[in-house]
Amino acid sequence: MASVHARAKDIFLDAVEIAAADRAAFVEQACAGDAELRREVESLLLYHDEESTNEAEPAAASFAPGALVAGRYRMIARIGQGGMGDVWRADDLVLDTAIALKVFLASGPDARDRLLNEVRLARQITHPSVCRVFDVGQADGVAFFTMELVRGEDLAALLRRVGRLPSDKVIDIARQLCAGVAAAHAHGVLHRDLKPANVLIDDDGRARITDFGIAITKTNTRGHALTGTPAYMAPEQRIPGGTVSERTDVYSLGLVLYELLVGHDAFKRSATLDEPLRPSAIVANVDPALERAIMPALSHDPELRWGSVEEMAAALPQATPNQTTASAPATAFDLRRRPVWLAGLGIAALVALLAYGSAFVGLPSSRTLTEQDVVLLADFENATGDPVFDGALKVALAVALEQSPFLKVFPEEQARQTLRLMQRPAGERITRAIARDIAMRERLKALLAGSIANLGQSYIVTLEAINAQTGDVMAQEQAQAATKEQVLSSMGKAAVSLRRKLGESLASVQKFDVPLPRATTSSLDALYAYSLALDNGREVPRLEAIPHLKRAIELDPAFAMAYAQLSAVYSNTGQGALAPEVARKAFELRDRVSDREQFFISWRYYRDALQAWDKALDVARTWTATYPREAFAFNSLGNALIRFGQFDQAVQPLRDAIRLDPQFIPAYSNLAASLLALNRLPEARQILRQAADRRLEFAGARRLSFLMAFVEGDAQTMEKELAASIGVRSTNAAFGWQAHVLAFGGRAGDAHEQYRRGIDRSGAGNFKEVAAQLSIEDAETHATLGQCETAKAEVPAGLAISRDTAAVDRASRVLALCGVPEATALSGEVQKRLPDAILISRVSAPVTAAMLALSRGEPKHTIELLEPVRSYDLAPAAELWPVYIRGQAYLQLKDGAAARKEFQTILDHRGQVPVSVLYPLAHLGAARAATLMGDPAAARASYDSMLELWKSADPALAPLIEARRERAALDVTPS
Amino acid sequence: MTTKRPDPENDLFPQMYRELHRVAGGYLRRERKNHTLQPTALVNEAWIRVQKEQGHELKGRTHGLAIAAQAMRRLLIDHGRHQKRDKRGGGAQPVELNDLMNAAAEGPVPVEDLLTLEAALTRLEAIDPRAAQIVTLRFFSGMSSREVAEHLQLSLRTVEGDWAHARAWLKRELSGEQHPPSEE
Repeated sequence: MASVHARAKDIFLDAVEIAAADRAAFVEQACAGDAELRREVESLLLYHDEESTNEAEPAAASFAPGALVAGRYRMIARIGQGGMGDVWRADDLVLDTAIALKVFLASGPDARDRLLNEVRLARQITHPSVCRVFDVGQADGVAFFTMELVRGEDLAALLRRVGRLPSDKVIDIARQLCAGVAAAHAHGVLHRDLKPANVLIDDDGRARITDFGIAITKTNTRGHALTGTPAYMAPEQRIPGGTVSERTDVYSLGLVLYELLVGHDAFKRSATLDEPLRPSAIVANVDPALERAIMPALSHDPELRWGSVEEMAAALPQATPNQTTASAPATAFDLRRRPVWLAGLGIAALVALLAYGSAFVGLPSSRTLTEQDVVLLADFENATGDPVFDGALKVALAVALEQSPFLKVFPEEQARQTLRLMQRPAGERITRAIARDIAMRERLKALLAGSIANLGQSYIVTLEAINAQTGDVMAQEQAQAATKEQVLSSMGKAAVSLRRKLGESLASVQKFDVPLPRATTSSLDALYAYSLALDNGREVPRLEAIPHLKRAIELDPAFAMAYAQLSAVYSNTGQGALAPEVARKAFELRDRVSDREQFFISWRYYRDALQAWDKALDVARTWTATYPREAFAFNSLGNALIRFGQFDQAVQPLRDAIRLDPQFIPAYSNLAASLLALNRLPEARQILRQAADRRLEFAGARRLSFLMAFVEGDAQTMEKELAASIGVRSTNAAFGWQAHVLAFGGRAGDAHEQYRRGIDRSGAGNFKEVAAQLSIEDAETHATLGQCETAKAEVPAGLAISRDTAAVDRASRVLALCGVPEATALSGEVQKRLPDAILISRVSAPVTAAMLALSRGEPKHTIELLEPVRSYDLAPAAELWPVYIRGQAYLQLKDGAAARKEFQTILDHRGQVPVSVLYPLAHLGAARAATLMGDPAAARASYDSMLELWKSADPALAPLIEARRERAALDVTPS
Repeated sequence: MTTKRPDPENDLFPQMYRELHRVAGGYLRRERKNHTLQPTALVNEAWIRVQKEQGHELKGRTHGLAIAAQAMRRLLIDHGRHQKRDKRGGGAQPVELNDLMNAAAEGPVPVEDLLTLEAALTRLEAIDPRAAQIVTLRFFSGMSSREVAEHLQLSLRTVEGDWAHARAWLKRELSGEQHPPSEE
């Protein structure tokens, strides 16, 4: 006689072959009155898993993220695996709302019937505590239905995370669940599978009952199929043919509440007892009334339980927390205040939620503890010799990994672009080593490397997660596939598992301290050196950058961006003469770099090497249109507009630059300068304050603050800014600030002293261009104030220090002002050196010619020469000279009105050149124009303004002596 | 734990066991932090290494895997017991076999669950050794039913029947129910 085990096995195996509904009868007959045998078979059948007897593995995911299902639902991410199928977060494109979409992997009429049943039942119930079901459909051979997307987690996950809940929270949830189940019962629907995993708590702490998958109507309570979750089944559910009722749900509900209260299921400690231990015997601080409501629900005999969920609800105590629960430590968990939970929620809990979360749990955006981690996939090492695996596995792996909201796969396209930055062919295989290089450049924490190999007839897929910084293996997974067809699904499983491990490890991996910029170079070391030259990743030109940039170029002599950035530093730190060579070099190498770099390089080339500001402006316009998020591009556009004196137009792009990158210093400087030029001092000050608030310090801020203080007569601030700037290497030009101010006041001698000091110190610091500049500015001051002999002597001295284009350009103006014909030669020299420099050919050259004409006594010709310059009158490089010279020419022509208009232009633009000596002289010009126009009152006022500005001026200055004499003559002339 | 028939694979066993022990040791050290194991992957890795060293003497993949599976089962259990001693309390908790199976295929399994499984598997071995062997091969080596059938020289139908029955049987054992439920 075979054992009970063996006989039960035979009957069991026969029973599973026949339809579930007919099994009870079959078993009864086959056991022929042997009660022991029948119990054994029936209990085995209870645990029989219908769908997993066959070998066929369910597809890891029947849809890919991004797939459009039934022409209406855009699949976003798989968010859970239920008993019968996957749950996806999807967008309903018709209603434009996020939903949960439950897919049924099992095919066949049984499964479809079950699905339809679920939907039909669930749709009847509309209650705040019941997850709403919307639609049912079929696509690509799978059935699905859609439901409300609940953002939160299920009770099972919650319990895993927090252990157990305090009484008041359990009471709160109990009330909601009772109400929801009561609503279902009112529609004649039993749930029959209530368990923690089927209750979701949303972000607001509201409970939702889900998964009416095995619910049956109350009128069909006999002969039900043996389905459900054994651990949460009522005793009558475990008996084939047992009668289920509302009291069945009362029992399951009681079990759920019990588990919430004590942290484990009711029968853990008393598997053989009919009734579980009282919660108060297991944990402290249990609300006695709550316990009195739960315990009767757990009676083995349905007749001894609450008659309905309403009865149970009525037995629940008030939800207000009493003294005992208030002191329970677990009260720190507030169901309605998600952030409190989040604080203690580690990545492991999140990953666990992903792995186990059974129902349709949407992940709220606020859940992201760390930003989404991006991983890079290396190309698969394919040792099978079968090319079919070459690309497919990588794509499949990406899809599998992307189902985690915490992982993002670095886009292939971008990886290929980075390859180009590494000066490797875009089609090159991304090997492990190359992948690591890419990952480091892109600041990715990890890369995944996979391989596939034969093992006899089968295949082994190995996945490894590698820490990009250290090269260590963080996690490894292996999957085996018996056939080629199974490789993908095996790998999918391995990926899921790797994802879980990776999620845990990634949380502990620090991002790189030094961000590696995106720049084309074949040398990682050169890139590193380049990164040190930047200011927190920004291409801010700084003196400190020079050694790093030189080092980068040394490591990679074809490093285009390093040359371009070096040019930027030279141009912005008073070493402009060194810029063209490196800017040209960058420009020559531009074909091998990315688009973004090309813009930067072209900008530098036109600006630094050619001074072709018109072309630079074009580049900036295209650049901002192509890269609308690039602060540098917008700053460049503003900068170029400023060069043409279009300050009002420059304001917006500069504001955009600050908005795009509030840490980008040059934009603040340029914006404040524009606002000052527009005489909008309060706004300019505000911008400087904004920069200071953001702890951004830059030399330009001090200069602007100094100039504004000067315009407003704030000597104290001027003193402060000057003191802070003198001697700082990057602000060598500060030596000239005080000289400018003195010259403005007509104190030529004192100004000269200051200039000399500046020249000496700049020269000593090897800033020859700055020294030459100061020297020729000094000469220019003398020339402007009528001291041409001194000026003429100083020009060659200045040019001897440095014959850079800026120096020669200004020198030609000084000599022209003094009527020295050699000015033309110098002007020609500059034009020859910079044939594309629009502000040289359109402004400097005609101004020099006009000055010479005026000194020759040809005012008409002077005006003719200056007429085309009018549109550049306000360009900063013109320094208002075309306006001033036109005014002088009109005075010679005795055209008072025209002259006055010109001088008034200067007086109206004080903010543009706040320290220009032309400003007091414009008052003098205006006074003379007024006299010509027969307006002595206006003339007197203008003379007085000029004399007030020059009250401390050198007494021997020709313009001062003339002004005093003319002013006095006005008083004696009878009106 | 023993196989029914005399088996040539036992000759290789001592040698392989040492090697597997080494592999498992390294694996377990890696896994120590979270006390989880991934039996199938562990066996696969062990098997690949054994194959590299012993290669030609083994009669194919299923043969080697079967040896590895038995050895690994023993190693894992020893490891689990050792680890459990370090932890407070004890007592088998209900385990879902489905979870365990899926976990074994997809990722790590909690060590305690493995012990619970082992206890149940030992009970099954006592009353149905063939079924226990099939479970061991499927669970610990990741062999398909077809491979198991081939290896044990049984029909596929027998293997699948034993497998289906053993699953239900083990699930019931793992659910914590001591006895089949009885009608009142």
